Amino acid sequence: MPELILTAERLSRSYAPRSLWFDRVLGGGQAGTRPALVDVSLALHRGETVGLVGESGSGKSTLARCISLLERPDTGRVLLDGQDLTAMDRGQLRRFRRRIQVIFQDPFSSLNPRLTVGGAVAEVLRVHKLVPERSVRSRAGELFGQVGLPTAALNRYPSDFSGGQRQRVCIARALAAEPEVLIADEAVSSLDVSIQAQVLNLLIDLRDRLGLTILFISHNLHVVRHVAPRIAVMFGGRIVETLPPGTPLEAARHPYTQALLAASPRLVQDHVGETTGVDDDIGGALPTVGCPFRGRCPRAFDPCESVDPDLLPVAAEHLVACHYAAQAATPHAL
Amino acid sequence: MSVRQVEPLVVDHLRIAFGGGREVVRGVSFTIQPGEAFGLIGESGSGKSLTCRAIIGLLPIGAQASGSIRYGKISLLDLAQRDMQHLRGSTIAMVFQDPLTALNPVLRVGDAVAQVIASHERVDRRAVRRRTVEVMNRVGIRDAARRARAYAHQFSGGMRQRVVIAMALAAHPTLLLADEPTTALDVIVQAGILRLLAKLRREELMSLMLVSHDFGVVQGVCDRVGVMYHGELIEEGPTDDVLFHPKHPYTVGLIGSLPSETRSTRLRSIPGTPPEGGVVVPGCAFAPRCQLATEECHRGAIPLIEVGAHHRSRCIHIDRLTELNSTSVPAHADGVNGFA
Repeated sequence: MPELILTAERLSRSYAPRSLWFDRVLGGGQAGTRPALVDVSLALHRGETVGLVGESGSGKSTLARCISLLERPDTGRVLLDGQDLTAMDRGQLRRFRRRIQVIFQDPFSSLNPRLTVGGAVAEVLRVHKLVPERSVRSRAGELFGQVGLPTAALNRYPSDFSGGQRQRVCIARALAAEPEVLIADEAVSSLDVSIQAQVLNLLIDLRDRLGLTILFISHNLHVVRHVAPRIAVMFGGRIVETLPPGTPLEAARHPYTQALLAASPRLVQDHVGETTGVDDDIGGALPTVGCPFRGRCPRAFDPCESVDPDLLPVAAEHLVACHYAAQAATPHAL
Repeated sequence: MSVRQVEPLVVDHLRIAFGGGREVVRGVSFTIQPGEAFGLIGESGSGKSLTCRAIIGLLPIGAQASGSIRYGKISLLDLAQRDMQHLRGSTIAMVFQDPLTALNPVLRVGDAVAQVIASHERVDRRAVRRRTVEVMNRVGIRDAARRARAYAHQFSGGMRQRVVIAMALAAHPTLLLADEPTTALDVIVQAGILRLLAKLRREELMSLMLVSHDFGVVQGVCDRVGVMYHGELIEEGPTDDVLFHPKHPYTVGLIGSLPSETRSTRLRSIPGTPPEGGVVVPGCAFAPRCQLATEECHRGAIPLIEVGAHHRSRCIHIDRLTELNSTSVPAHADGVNGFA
């Protein structure tokens, strides 16, 4: 296995409710913070693509923002090449930012409408002093070539482009920084299916050509599987399962992953999306003690109420945070 | 209660244009038989949602529909505003994509459902309340009598969509239109809503039209599916035939674009981007992106051709479809092609 490039160690992040007054008036929420990320650890090896999947509110984007230090985690560390990013001050951090780049979901709001797309890429080259001023334009053109856009497009404004083309611009801008780690946060989710496939193909090509390390985040299990050999599944701000490369999705052991797989539409003859006894989201805040999934879980039993399930191996590199799966894996222990 | 009469819906040469003759739906024809579930598939801008909205008379201001839409003996496009309003809910009902904007935030959800019942039927308050709880139960809202007193913001996304479906069903429509009803929902919740729609369609004796961008969504629910591209129906047939034996290069590309575990690393994808809405393309609108296109494709309109039992396609090269499987476009070419 290649060396570790990026390690997130026990990251936690909570958000305060929007306003205490608002909550008091509605009488619904309790005064206090809501955990968005609970004790999450994740390691990326050089050249590896890791997929991160989970439903809305599971903490995927918070994890992306904490790993890229767009937001500071409350506790935990982020190590890039062995250096602790969370311990750095703003000045020090700035020099490291170049090395982790993010592509966001919405290519409309992530480009400045007043700046030509070539200008957006040139800005990155200038800020990080990556090429001498006289080569900025030619380098920007080169990057456009890499993402399948003509050099003539450099002088256009974002409004001249379709969603898929804008996402190519965002990818070119991310690549301009010559990052070692690329975080794609729902980067293809807002695109139409045929365009989504183009951009996925492009990301895979770039990864293979440039040896990028990618954290690929999506709510779509099949899209994640297509891009990433190793998959981490999030629920309720925690990683509840990690599937090692080569493990079929059917081998998933966490009831949430199993439900996700069963519910994901796929084109198989006579396939109907099923729910495997997992309840719809019933709304309201998730419990903070015990397993966050227990309210919807058909397998929930006593320990799920009171004990936080640890991520434990059920096979080599296959970790599951589930009391039921742990019990099933080691029947003698009970 | 009168005897429920489920009628066929016949959409015939439907055209929808915006000011300045910008035509975004260009001669769409299809029939939904009584009790049938029909799926309408297309990417954004293909005209699928407008087609749906034309049926229930909710086109945006400035959109002009021509051609004909008949439900049984009623010609829907010729209906006066008042008559359409009467039909809406009691005969044809609709479920929208975003349940939060479809619900009134200051109304208890039970009252929202009750309103539909009270406005279509002359029944006393107690009967309205009983029917409200009944229909909320039927769409899978547990403890409906108590939950009816809650507001939309107190519900999760999936439960809100169930309320919207309850409102649609409250006055016993015989045709239910659902426009991307699960697009805003998480996958597990989506599966629950789709199973509910499939179940209701069978139990309620009604026809269903499901509009979606997702083949996977349509597959589990619909008997038949139509695929739209640039305002035209380009393929139509039994769901499994279209999905597993597509007969149009666009459908082939769309299905090839879906990631699945059995596929190798490269998705087939479709090069380029669709033409802008309303732009007139001579001949086949897909030809500029099509690997099979010949001069003939650009020349004149291509008719829907019978390619199998109840299976039609708007392509003159279906004998060459196998060529699509062997060719793969380099990722570089994808973007350049569509740059305007």
